[in-house]
Amino acid sequence: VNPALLAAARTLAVDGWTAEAVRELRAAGEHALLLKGPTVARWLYGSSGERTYVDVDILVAGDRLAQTRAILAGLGYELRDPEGEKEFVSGTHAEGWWRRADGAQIDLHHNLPGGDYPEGVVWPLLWARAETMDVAGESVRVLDLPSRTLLIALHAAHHGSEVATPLEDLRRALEQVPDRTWRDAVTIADELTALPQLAAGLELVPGGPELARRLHLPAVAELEATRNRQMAPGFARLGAATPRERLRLMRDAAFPSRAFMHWRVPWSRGSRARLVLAYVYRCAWLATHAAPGWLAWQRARGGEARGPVMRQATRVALVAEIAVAYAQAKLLMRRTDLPRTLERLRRQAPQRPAATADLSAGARLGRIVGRVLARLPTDSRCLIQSLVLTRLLDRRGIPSVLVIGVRPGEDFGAHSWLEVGGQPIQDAGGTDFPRLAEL
Amino acid sequence: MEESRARLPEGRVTIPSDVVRRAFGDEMVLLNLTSGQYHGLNATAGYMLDLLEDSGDAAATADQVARECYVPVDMVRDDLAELCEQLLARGLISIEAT
Repeated sequence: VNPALLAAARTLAVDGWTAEAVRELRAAGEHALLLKGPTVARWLYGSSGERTYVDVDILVAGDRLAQTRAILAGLGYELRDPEGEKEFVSGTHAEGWWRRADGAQIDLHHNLPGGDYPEGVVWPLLWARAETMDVAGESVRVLDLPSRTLLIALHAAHHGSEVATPLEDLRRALEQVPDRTWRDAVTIADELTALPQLAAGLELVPGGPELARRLHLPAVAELEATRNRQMAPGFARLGAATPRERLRLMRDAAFPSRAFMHWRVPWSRGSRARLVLAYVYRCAWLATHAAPGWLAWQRARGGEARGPVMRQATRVALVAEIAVAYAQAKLLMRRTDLPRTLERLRRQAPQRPAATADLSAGARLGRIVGRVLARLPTDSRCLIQSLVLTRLLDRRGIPSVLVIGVRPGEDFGAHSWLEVGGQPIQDAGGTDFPRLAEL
Repeated sequence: MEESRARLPEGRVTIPSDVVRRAFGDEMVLLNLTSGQYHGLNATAGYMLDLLEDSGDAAATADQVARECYVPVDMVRDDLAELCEQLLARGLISIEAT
């Protein structure tokens, strides 16, 4: 038998299994997105029949996995070699199901390949953008073009330079997809914290690095270092752009499309006033997170900012961050007590143990906070310094402990300082202030 | 006319979780984290507070102090009642109904 005919027959069968699974899921009130298969074949290969596929790739919401599994089991599927499959399919983002009777295979995804993207964002974002495609007579929800474009790059990055099909998919996407769609794909990748994987995928194919430059994607290492740090990837992209492009990037960041706002800020739907308010809220959010984002980017780039202008900008950003933290701490102390103030200032509450680098970074920040508060017309007593430093460390994921010490007796006095990993990073007052409390 | 005297609390005496304290030699320093106020107790008052925390019972604490210090129990009860009143007013102890 001609192998090409066999592959074509298998592809037709896969479409039938896709339709069957989607129909059953829909009947049970469950949603699924078709990830690849016919969506890639028809889009990038036309009607050539050149791109065949052997299984069904569907994505479901992470919290609907159990229900989906039950429905697949009801269709006669069983989980195929769970442990081995996890390694084969790539970690933990999908699991393989198969049906003995006819050899049908379904890869059940609850995340995209190649990274631990936030599941709480992946499904709602991709589902909100989804389109409909007819597959074997069934209306099937599939990724829209920008999401599909991103997936192609993530898939290639995930399998690396040794697996031919994902690379060929990506090569064709580079040829056929316009830059504006790639730009939308970058926006989605940014939301999914998938910029490093997108950039890594583009590095694998001819023309990819040039496209990455046009998209203002910095080096993979820089993106990796800024991943999961609010706004830092955005600054990394600004750093890779030309001055004119920077303006456009900033405009896009502050004023994304209406559809994007409706997805990102659900309460913005329904009226023009709500939408305007959502844009105002977004601008305010960006303004308050710009300083730490900038600093995170600077740290990710390898420590000290480069050049006198960058160093000056970093200083200004840090002073602004200290001023904001000071205002927060004073307001909280006026409204509530010390334990609750600390609780609010430690919003991220890092649980990891402190590292050696945290100690030196904390001590450096402590000195800066002391100097800045001493020069500003502010309360620069030890407790407020400690509270401001608590906020700054928390933003950087550094765990800290506030220590209160007292000097008993007639010459009574109290003093506070912060410790990281059991070591003081502010003046602990020598032995004059034995510790009373650790918070 | 006789001056009104403090009475021993009748419920269970506890130290709120927002109060931290430590003994430094003969002195005990307390910090009420809610009010932000520091307070000092002498050795006897600090000892009474320790006993109060252990037993939760003011009358039993007075009996124990009287026994150990060879002081008339009525005198101890008066002093302890006054101490409890002041600690209560500053949020350094609380009384739970039994």
